[in-house]
Amino acid sequence: MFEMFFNPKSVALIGATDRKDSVGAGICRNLLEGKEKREIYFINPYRKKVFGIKTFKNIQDIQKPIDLAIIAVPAKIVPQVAKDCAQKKVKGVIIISAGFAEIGEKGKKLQDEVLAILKKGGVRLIGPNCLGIIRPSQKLNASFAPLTPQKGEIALISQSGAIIDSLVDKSLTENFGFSLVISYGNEADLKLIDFLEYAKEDSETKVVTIYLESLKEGSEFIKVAKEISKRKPIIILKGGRGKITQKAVQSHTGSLTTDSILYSIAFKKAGIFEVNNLTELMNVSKALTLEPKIKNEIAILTNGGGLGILLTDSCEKYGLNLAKISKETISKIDKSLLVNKNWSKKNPVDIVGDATEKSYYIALKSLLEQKNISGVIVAQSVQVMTKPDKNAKIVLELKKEYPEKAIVCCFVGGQINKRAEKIFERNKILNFQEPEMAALVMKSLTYFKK
Amino acid sequence: MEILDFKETEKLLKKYNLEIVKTLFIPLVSKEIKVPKSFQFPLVAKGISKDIFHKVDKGLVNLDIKNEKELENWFLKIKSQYPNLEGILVQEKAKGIEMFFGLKRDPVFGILLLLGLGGIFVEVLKDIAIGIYPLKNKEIETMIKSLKGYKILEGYRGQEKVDIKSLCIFSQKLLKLMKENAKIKEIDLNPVFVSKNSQIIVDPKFYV
Repeated sequence: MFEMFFNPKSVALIGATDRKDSVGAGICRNLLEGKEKREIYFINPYRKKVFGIKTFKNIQDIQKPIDLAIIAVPAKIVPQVAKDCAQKKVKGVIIISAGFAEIGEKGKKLQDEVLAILKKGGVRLIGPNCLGIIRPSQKLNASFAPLTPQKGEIALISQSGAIIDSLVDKSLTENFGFSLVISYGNEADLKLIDFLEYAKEDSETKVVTIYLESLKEGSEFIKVAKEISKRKPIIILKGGRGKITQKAVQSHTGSLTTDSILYSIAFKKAGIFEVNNLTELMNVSKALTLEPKIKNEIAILTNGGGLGILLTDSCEKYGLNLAKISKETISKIDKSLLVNKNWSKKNPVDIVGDATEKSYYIALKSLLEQKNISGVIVAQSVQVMTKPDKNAKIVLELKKEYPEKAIVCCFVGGQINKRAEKIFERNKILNFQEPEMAALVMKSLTYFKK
Repeated sequence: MEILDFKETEKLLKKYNLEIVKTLFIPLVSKEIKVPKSFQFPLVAKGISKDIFHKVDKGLVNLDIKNEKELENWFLKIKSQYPNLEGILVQEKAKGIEMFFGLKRDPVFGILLLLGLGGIFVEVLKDIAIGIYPLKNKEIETMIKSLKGYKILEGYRGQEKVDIKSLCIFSQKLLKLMKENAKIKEIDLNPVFVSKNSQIIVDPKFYV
C-alpha cells in the first residue's frame, strides 16, 4: 500500500520552481538526487523550464502513469490540483502546503474538500501541512528538508517538520542514518498509526523514533504501538508537556489527571520508551540500532571512584541492576597481575587510577565472560597513566569478540580524550561524556524484550 | 454535569454487583420518618441532590444520628434549608480502610480508572494511580502497588491485609459499568470502605 510513496517509479512535483530559497526549489533539488532511480516531472504553468528541465502545465499532460504527486501550491488551489491528480489516476499524493485544519474551521473545510476529492479518485494522501518523506535507501527525498540523510535503521516519524530538519542535519555530523523519515502533518488520510504499521513490516527499520505533540485516537495508538514494540523498539519524545487540561472541573476524578501524566501512562502501557529531550531521543535510538537488547544485569568498569559513583547513582535512578561480580571473575582479574591489587573486587569495578590498557583488557574481558553480566558501562577518566586511544581500541576489540553483550562507554574528558572519541565514532561504539546519559542508554537496551 | 438520582444509581450498583452500605432513601416529600428495626443506630444521614457535588461543605452530612427523633429533626431542618433536595440517605456506618475510586472519559484515551487511598492521601498528597482502559488485573495490581500508601493495604497496625485480587475484580466491575453505560460521564466513589474481601460504597456519585 505504501510502495507508491516510498519507492515510486515516477514522481511529479506540482509547484516546481527554481526561485531561490523556496519550498518548491528545495523539493526539486531533493527529488533530482534520485533521478537515476525514477522519472521526475515538474509542473508549473508559468515557467517553461525549472532546473533546466522542461515543465508541464498540468499533471494530466504527462503521458506516462504517475505513482506519486507532491503538491506545493497555495492552499486555495489545492482542490483543483487534487482533481487533476485524481483524474490522472495518481496513486499517492503528498500535500506539503499549509493552510488547512491547523489554522481552524475554514482550513478544516478546505481539507475535507480535498480529502473527499482524493478519496473518490482512490488516491491516498500524506499531509497536508507537512515536510514530506525521505527514503534514503531508494534515493527518494520527497521533502523540503535542507539535506538528505544517509540510509540507516531508524524510522523517524515526526509531527513536526522542523524537528526533522534539525535531526537530519545532526545525523550527518554524527554518523548515523534513517530507514524512513516521515513528516505526517495533519493526518487527513494516512495517520501516525498507518506509518507505525508500515515501519513494523519494513525490513530496513530496526527502531521506530517518534516526535509527538498530540494524539487524536489514543486507544488505537496504544493498541498498534503495543504490537510493534514487542518486535521493534519504539522511542518517543512528547512535546507540549507543560499544559494542564484546561477544563472546568468540579468533580474529584476530573481534577486529578493532566495530559502530560496520561501520555506517559499510555506510552508505558504500549511498551514505548519515553525520553525527555532531543539528545536522549537520538542517543537512545542510535543505541538500539547498534547494540543488542539485553537483560537487566549490568557491570560498571571504571578507573576512578568518582565516575563509578556517578554511574552507580544513575543506574539506581533508571532502575538498572548491578550484577554481583563472581568469584571466578575476581580470580581471573587477580591472577592476571595486570590490575592494581587494590581494585574494588565488586561492582562498580574500579581498577584504580593507574590502570593501563592491559588492565582494561583483562577486566573488561573477564566481565564480558561472566554469564550473568549482559552489559558493561566502561568509564574512563583521564589520569596521568591513562591512554584513552589505547583503551578505546581495547573496547573495540572486545566488542567484536562479544557482540551479544552491550557495551556503552563513558570516557570523560576533552583534549586528551579526543582521539578515543574519534575511534568510537568511526567504529560506531557508543560513548557519552555524561554518566547519566550512559546509564539511560544502557537502560533503554534493557527495556525491550530480547 | 449533574449527579444521577439515587434510584437509578442504586439500580446500576445492583446490576453490576457493587455493594453499597445498608441505606434507606427518604424522598424529601415524605411525611413520615420511619427507620426499619434492622438499622443499627448511630446512623449517618446525608442530603442528596443532582447539583450539589460537595455535601459536607453545605452542612448536608450528619455523622451521628442517635435515634429516630434526631433523624426527624435533622430531616426537617435540611428540608427547610434546601427545599430542592432529592431526599436524604440514612446509612449504617461502614468499617474498613477508606479508598477512592474514580472513572472518567478522556477525549484522547477513553475510559480512565483512578484509584488511591481516601482522605488526605487523595486530597492533599494526590497519591493516586491512573490506568487506561482496557486494564488487565495485573495492570490494576501494579497501579495499587504503586501507591505511596500501599503499605496500609498490606495490613497496618494489626489490621487485616486487603486482598488485592478482590480490589481488581471490584475495579473491573466499575470499568464494565462505565464501558456499557455511555451516558455516565464520570464516577466518583469517595470513600469506598475496603477490608479483606469486601468493598463497601457509601457515597456513589455517577455524573451524567
